[in-house]
Amino acid sequence: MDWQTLAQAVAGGLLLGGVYALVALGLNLIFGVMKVINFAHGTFMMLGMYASYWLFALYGVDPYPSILIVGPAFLLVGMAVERLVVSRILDAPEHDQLLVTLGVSLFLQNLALALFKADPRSIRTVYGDWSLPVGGVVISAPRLGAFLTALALAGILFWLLRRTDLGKAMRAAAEEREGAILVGIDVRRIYALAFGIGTALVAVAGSVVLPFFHVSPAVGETFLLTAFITVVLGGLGSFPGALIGGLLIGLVEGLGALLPGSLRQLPVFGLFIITLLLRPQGLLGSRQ
Amino acid sequence: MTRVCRQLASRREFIKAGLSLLAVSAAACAPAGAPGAPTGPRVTEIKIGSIHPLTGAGAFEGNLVARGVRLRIEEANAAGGIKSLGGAKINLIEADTQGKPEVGQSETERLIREGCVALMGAFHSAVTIVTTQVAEREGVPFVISVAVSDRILQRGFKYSFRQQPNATMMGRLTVRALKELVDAAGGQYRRVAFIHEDTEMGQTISAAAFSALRDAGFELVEDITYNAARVTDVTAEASRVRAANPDIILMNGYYPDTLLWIRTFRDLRVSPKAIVGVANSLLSNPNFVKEEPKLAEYMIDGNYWWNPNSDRARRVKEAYEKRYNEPFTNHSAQGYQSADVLIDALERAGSTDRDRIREALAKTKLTDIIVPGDTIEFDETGQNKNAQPLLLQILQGVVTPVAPQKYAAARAVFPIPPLDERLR
Repeated sequence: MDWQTLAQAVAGGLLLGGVYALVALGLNLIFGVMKVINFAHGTFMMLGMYASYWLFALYGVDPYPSILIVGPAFLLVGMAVERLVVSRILDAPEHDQLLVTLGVSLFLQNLALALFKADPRSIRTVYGDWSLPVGGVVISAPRLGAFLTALALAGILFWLLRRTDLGKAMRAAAEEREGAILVGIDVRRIYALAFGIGTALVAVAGSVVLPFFHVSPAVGETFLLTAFITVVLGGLGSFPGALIGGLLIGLVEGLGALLPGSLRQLPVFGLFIITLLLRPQGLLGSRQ
Repeated sequence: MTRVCRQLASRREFIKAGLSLLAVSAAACAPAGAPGAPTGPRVTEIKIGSIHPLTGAGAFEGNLVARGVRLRIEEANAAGGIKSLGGAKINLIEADTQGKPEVGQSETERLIREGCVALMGAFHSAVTIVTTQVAEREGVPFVISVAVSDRILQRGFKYSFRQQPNATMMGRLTVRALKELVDAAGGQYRRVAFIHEDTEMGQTISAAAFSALRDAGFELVEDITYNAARVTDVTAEASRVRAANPDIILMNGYYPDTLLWIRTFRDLRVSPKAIVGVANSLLSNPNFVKEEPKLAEYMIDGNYWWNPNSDRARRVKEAYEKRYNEPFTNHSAQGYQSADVLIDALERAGSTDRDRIREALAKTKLTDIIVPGDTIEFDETGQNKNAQPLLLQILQGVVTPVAPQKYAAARAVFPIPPLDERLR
């Protein structure tokens, strides 16, 4: 193994980890605030990809500016889904919540299948084949773009949660629902917003992945399992945890790809199991 | 019988009725395919199951196969149904495997419960292993539309038939044709990297190709397996390939995953003398040309195809493109041909009895076919003896047969131009 291959694996893994983190951040926000495990999360990513795909295919809008449309649109979609479906099951047992979000996911996936067929589609942007040689390592421009967008959005989310009244209200609702209601926080609105923001984040993840990945109705599943592992690894409800967990999983997966056979994800699951054994609350999770 | 007796007025009528009953049961025992002798009650509908991945991983190719099957069935129904069964129409029931063996199993069981007398499927080798097993257990003929693994037919099954070439045939053809290209180019390009997906298809294809590569004097410098259904990134694997510096990259896989590989090779500036698919879903698909015209150019694939010299194939291609408004692919051609095999067997069986259909399938000798080869005839395992894969290359945006000589429409380009030149 030469150092160049190793460095390329590390770089590729970290770039991918950024995307994992972005997908996990939304999932974590929804779980952290509402205590709902959202099985439809990957499906919203798929829909975000299709939204950007059609904006590109029909109107020539590049996926990056399309974030400005896809983000707000999916904020509203997420809020609507929360109001119509998720808000009704907040007090239901966990397995019921799970079934309902899974139902939403199956419905939307089959809707996408009926509307767009199963064909994997991808787009070709001007920068799609740009890459930056750094030493002997090649950094693909669209992957770097997705990584930087993920970092930027994570930064905005942290700022939102730490520095704004909305963020404080969210954290309050997350920590103590009754208490938040007592001090006059409109928890219903907060829940809708949390679900909306989580959905918008994952839809935008879909947009920035599009320049280097295909979209098909089942594509969300590819990312969802990793997002669950990321959230649990980083710590349920911990936002820095989701970010660091995502990067770590990307890195470990990248290095795992250097193993013989298709063992790419073996070290990821190994890391996951070890974490569960030694630190069940996750890397940055707090013991409750 | 007692009730019949009571209603009969005289002994003479009783004897007459008894004789006619005998005659009917004698007709039912007549040998299969006796012309003009429909058996039992009149058949108005023949239920045939088509089971493919219509959603989930493999859904793109699975739908292509299913559309080919559907086109042939629609044609048969429009042309008056199965004539030996009094013009009975085929009722095609479609099912979805989701690319998962366990779903394939339960859906096959459902199709049989619903009364399908024969089945077609199932695209993924790993799924077809299971669906053919269910069909064998239940005694229902299973015509494999697409699935390459040799192992499917190596289990002594009586009810499974496959008209397309198996993994060994495709691995051998690809390596033999590749060797000819390398020899013609001076013989110095012998370093091969092999990339394949990690389920039944990839395992059998790579096993077949490895031994053929060894025999042909190639040197295997890197061997990479990957999970096609879950892959999100192959940067690290592609840099392993780059470090091994192969002359030729052999690839077995499905559409979206192979596209990810090809794009990653571009990003990492991997520029081999040829990229050659073995039963690859991407490298001989017209949709690939549409998506990435520059990257698609000069790609090679050893795969099943239709016979470029066949008039019928040309007509089917036109009919398909008109019916579905999308390019005709090898996947649809296999679906169409497999349905054609089954319809021929139904005509000759003249019965909806599953064992008669099986008998007829085993005796298949089809000459008017759209796939390469002189006839379709099955050996005792159910494999088409004359199945012939082709070597294809994308030349000026068209997937073109380049070997064997008999089917070649152009000369293969090898070695292919370097990557920078191809992207210009």
